[in-house]
Amino acid sequence: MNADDFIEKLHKEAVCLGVKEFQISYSYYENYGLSLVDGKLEKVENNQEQMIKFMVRHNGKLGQFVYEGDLKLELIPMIVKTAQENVSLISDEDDSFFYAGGEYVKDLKPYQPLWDKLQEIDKIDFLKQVEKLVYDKSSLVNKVISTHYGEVKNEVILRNSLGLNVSKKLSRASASVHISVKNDDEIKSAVEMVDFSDMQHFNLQYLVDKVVDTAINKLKGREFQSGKYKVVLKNKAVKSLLSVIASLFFAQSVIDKKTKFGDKIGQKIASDKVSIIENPFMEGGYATCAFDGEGYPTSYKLVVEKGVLQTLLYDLKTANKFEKVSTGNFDFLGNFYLEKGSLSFDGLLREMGEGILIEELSGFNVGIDKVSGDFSLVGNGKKVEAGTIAYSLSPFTVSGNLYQLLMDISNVANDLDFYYSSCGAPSVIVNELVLANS
Amino acid sequence: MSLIDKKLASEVIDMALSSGGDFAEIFVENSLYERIYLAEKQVKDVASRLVCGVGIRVFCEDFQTYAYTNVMTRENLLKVACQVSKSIKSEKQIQSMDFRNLEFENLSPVQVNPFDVSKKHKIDFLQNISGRAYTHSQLIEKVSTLLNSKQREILVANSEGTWAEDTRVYSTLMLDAQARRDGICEQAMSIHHASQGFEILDKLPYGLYDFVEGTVDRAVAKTYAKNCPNGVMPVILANGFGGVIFHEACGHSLEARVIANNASEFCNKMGEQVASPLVTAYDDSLIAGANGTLNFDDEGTPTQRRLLIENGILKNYLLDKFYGRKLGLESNGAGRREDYTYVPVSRMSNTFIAGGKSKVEDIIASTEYGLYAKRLSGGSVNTVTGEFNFAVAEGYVVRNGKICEQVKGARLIGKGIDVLKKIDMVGNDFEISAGSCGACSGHIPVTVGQPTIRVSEMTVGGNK
Repeated sequence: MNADDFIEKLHKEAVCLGVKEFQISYSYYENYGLSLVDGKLEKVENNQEQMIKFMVRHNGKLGQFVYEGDLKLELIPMIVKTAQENVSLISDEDDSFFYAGGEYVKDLKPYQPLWDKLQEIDKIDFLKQVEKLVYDKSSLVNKVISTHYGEVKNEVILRNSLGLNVSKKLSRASASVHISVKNDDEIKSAVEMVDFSDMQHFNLQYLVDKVVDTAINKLKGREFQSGKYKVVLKNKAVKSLLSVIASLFFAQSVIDKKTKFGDKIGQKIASDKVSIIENPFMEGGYATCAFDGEGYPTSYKLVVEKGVLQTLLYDLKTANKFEKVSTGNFDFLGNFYLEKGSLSFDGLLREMGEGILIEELSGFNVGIDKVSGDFSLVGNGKKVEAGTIAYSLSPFTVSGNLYQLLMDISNVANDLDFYYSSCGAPSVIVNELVLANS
Repeated sequence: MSLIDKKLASEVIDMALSSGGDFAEIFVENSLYERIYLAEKQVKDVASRLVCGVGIRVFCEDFQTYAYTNVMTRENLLKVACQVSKSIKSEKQIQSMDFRNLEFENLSPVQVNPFDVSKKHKIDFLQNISGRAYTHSQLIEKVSTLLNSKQREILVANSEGTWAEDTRVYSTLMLDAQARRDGICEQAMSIHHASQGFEILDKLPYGLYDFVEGTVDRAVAKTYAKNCPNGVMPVILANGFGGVIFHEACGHSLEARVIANNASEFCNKMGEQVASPLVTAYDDSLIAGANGTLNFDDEGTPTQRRLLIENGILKNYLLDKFYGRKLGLESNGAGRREDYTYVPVSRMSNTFIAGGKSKVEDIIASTEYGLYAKRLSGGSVNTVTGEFNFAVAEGYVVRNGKICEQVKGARLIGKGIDVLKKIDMVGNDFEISAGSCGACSGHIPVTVGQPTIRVSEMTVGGNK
């Protein structure tokens, strides 16, 4: 049975069973992937799945049933009845809502790979060539561990009993390479990717140079004295922190008591160098979309302007609770970024003078306490002396507090980068973080 | 009744092998999930989920191809199998054999199927423990509780004639308490996973009081904790979940995929000293009722107890069918996957350092200055370089052989073999503790374990 027919039948059955308010979300997902090891094809994947999420609203509460599988008519009564049972058990004091639909921004241009160009290239040959060129580029290359090409296509349909009917399609493609480099006994590794949104991504050397330079950059790391340091956080490191900081701006986090920003609208929560924007209309953005997870129109917003909190991020439920209007952020965050400054990256280093450049951060799975904002992560980077990079450092821990970090950003560079994601940042100077090394 | 009849399974496997290949497998799944979540004594979420899907895989020497679908009609399964076969280009080599049911003793019998218990009953339980948590301290400002139940019916059938069916039940209970004292807000969480049913509530490792009131006490205590000092120092890791250190420092690096692809510091080290002579470690999929235990792995291979390291000498890798083949070795039943949407690879199950001889009090008393990591949060590893890290959820400074002030925000980093060689004391208080592990074949239930151990030096990162 096709999705439209199933959704229609589900809609009718819900009405027959007396369900007055309901919402149906259908998602179809396809992916294709190739992996090469040692120049040979190791794995090919070709996958598809579909999912139906049925939600019932009763007395302001929501209950749901999610089904992944064949769209069989005989399952419909079970889907509806289970969702009804679930909603009857909810005792959330905050009301939830469905949205009836409205005006949406049109003709958006989200990220798309250059499909026409992609169809012209032999992907296996592309990956084989990348591997060969990596070995050719440097004698320090120890191994090309694997190369990978992947495509994803996804379609989402959202309809409800109030008349909402929206849909979207997205597609992605990427190639990545994972290598190790070796100098004497020291081994380092790196993974880099391209997403074929730009013609230079089809230039093999572009990906090869990125991954080899990134890996070699980590070699000959020295130890240093643990302590408090002024740091430059490279845009990639800032971006990974911003992805976590984003959750602090959601009104739901206020309800969950996992943010200190609940009563801070209009107040200074960061240095005046910090402006944070959410832009769901950005051309080429990974999170460019006219509606959020409940079909509400998304909106461009200045979340933080020169350090002052302008708004939290609301959905229909939290907007109702806090007597605001939804900002189109149910289960959705548009392209989210720290606004760039005017200084170049080299200028930022010169301004810092003495300190540490943190190029990458990891350990986010368990490294952040969202209640206190304390974090303790793992960093890679360089020592900076007299405003220039002096030498590589061996891995170190980086400790601080997310709220304090926002206050301690003393300058922002102009090298804004999204690193093939929906969250972006430029490099910044942070007055003080605690770093520990052996 | 089987998830798929044998005739169709045979047809699918034969279709998948129609262009060649030397092995084919079909993995079928029908899984029920339920989530009940309370926060601040309100039932915030009751969610149900049903997942049905199939994964079809073919090997041809050192190549594999995979496709999954959740449209399980005969027509579509044969279409997907045909698509899979198109990635293979060789003369047809085999046909599927007659299926033989895999017989096994159920290592994780369920006493009370969680789906036989009403949601209301579960909610009442969660309300009860939530209420107890609030009552235990006036400093508690928020309590949330969660009960997840999972029932997975799976079938693995392959061209070698394996027909392995099982029903796997898992439960997870979580309590999260936030305390506020003088403007300082801290959180503590207890979470228990088990391959058990609703009886999990009666089988918590330290009992329900420790799970509920103990968590509250830890949240309150953390508001008094100081920032952790940083530097290089001895680290004592408590028993049970302290086994995360071995999981990250060594376990992932012994998985066949990274060994076969030369992406592990443990490559070419079989038979060599890779840890202190005090360290003997196992991965044991046969521990009755443990979270990582399986009657057979996700490729239908009977599971086993694997000696990984003996007195510091590397003895075994974790092997699945495909990457074991690349190493010229047979699978040792370590192939695992979160669900049908993942290709299985070798992963850990119940992984632990075996008990030693030292008394815990002697380990502490012999440490002049260091960190006692009583509870860990979890970590991650780069198997290529051996660099790993993990976070400490509850730590204490050890000074002059005594456990002193509680500290917070500690992060430990190190390099696998280097740290394993620095284990200089191994206690006699062995325990295992359940958790969840995420990697390239998804999130799977596991157990970590160890006695109390001391590492003579590790880099400790803190906010002091």
